[in-house]
Amino acid sequence: MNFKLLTLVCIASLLSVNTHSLEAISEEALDSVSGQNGVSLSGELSFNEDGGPLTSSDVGNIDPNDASIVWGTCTEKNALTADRCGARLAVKPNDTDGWLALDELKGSVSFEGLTLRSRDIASTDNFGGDEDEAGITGKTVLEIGLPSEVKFENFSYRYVTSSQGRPTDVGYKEQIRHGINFNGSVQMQGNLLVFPVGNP
Amino acid sequence: MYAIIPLMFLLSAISHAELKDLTESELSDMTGEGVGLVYESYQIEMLAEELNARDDGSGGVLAGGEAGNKFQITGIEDINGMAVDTSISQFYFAGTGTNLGTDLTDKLVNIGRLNNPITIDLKDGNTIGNGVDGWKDKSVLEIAMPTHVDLADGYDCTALSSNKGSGTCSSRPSNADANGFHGERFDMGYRINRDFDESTAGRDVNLNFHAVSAHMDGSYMRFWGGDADVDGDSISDSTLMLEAQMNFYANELIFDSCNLDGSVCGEQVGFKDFIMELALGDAKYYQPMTIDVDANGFLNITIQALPTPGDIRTGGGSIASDGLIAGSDAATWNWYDDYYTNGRKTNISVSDMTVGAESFGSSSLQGLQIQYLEVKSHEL
Repeated sequence: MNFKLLTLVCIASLLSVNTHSLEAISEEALDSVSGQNGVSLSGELSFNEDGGPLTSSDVGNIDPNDASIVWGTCTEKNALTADRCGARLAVKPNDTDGWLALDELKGSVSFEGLTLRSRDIASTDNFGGDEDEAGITGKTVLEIGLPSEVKFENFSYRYVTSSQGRPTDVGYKEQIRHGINFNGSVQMQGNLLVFPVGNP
Repeated sequence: MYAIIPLMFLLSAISHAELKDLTESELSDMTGEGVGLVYESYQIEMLAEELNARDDGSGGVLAGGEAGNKFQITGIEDINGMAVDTSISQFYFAGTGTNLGTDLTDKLVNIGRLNNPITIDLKDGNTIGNGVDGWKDKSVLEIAMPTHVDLADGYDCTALSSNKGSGTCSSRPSNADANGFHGERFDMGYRINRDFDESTAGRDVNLNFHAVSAHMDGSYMRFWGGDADVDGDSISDSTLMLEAQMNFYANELIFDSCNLDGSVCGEQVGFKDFIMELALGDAKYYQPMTIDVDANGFLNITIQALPTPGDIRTGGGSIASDGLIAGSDAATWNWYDDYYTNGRKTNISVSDMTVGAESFGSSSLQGLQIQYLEVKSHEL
């Protein structure tokens, strides 16, 4: 299920909730109402699979260093008529010129069975005895049940260090640190527990 | 992750939570708090479709991953500029007893304890330091693994099994104190294949790395902002600063190499009772770590130089040529004395290094203190 479809489903179910007639609720009745605990999610995120928002004919999409077209579709990149396709996320760690960037970020990630719920740590849980400690028994945590499988499809990026923020800048130079191109599924199990820790 | 956003809206729209006033006493209990994280019964594995035979000497072949599974690392070229097909054939992170990643069934691990979790927290530099040192008036983001604890409450840091009171590590080995629990120490490893292009056939290699019963207690990364010269032009730059403590403890580290189908493997190189406590940067003594990228895109990582005598931050005085306090400015001498006594130090030790059946005995590096470090990448 992709993002748009999921949004549509959510809005549709929201509308269905609102079709019931509305009635006033008493203080007593309100006391017995509680939010439902827990939600299970599955989803797929695909981004920049075919390139990005810039097309090869856009003004300014030219490398001033060698006059080549910088951004295009991935088909154009494969045909060597554009240098890059995908998203670019760049961070500048100080006020000199250098940037750290994830370049040509694209692909698809999907997962199934991610759960979210609030959970009270009980003495029946097994944390090797920690569950019986004062202050831990009864502690409420957010439990994120990790998906059993995460699938990657042509999920790729290059990690680069570059002299300027954009490849369309004059004098732009970059060095590739490494990149990845993942295809296939990663198996996982377990929960991630999230809770506040005191430190004013 | 974007899928979560519409669902959150949906939940908030249809839930009927009741809002109550907080009393004065409840409000006074509120503090700014960080986030604690615990991975419970965790395991993760990446398995390529084509996988080596196992390299643990037991023969047999590990079942490969699902059809189409290929996890490539790109951007690596050989001397002729040809791409080298490097891929992760297996990555695993699981509980102990995996026999070098060949048996992950029910091998689960907790990372962090409910009473000593992984933490993400904003800290007050005046509390980390003493208010007049390099941490003065800094707001510091800290990501930390479980901390070390008192000897009475801790466990031996590298033993495969130990009981409470045997060391300072908070993460417990499997079945500590005979509690039957899988503990907080993990087995992890990589099997990586490097497949050169055809012109260099015969040079394809496989490299395997395994850590047995490992944990990272006491590790942390701290981030904040400040001024320092990051590019060597003697002018201060506004920059991201870091201080890191990278601790890695393992009962054993194992490296070896096989041919690509795993049928022939070399000798295993082992490091028993591996302890690495890497101290990078020491902000208290004005030595943060900084990152810069130069005009050619090369990376430059620096641990800023220790202030020299005469620097106002050391007390501004001088140190006698014989290094004794008698002829030196007392405040400055004491500042350096404090640095060499209490400054952050790196330790690495191994109780036994082995190659195949040969033992090379123990080795250790203790108390390494970095006064200045500059690491630059260059084109080959």
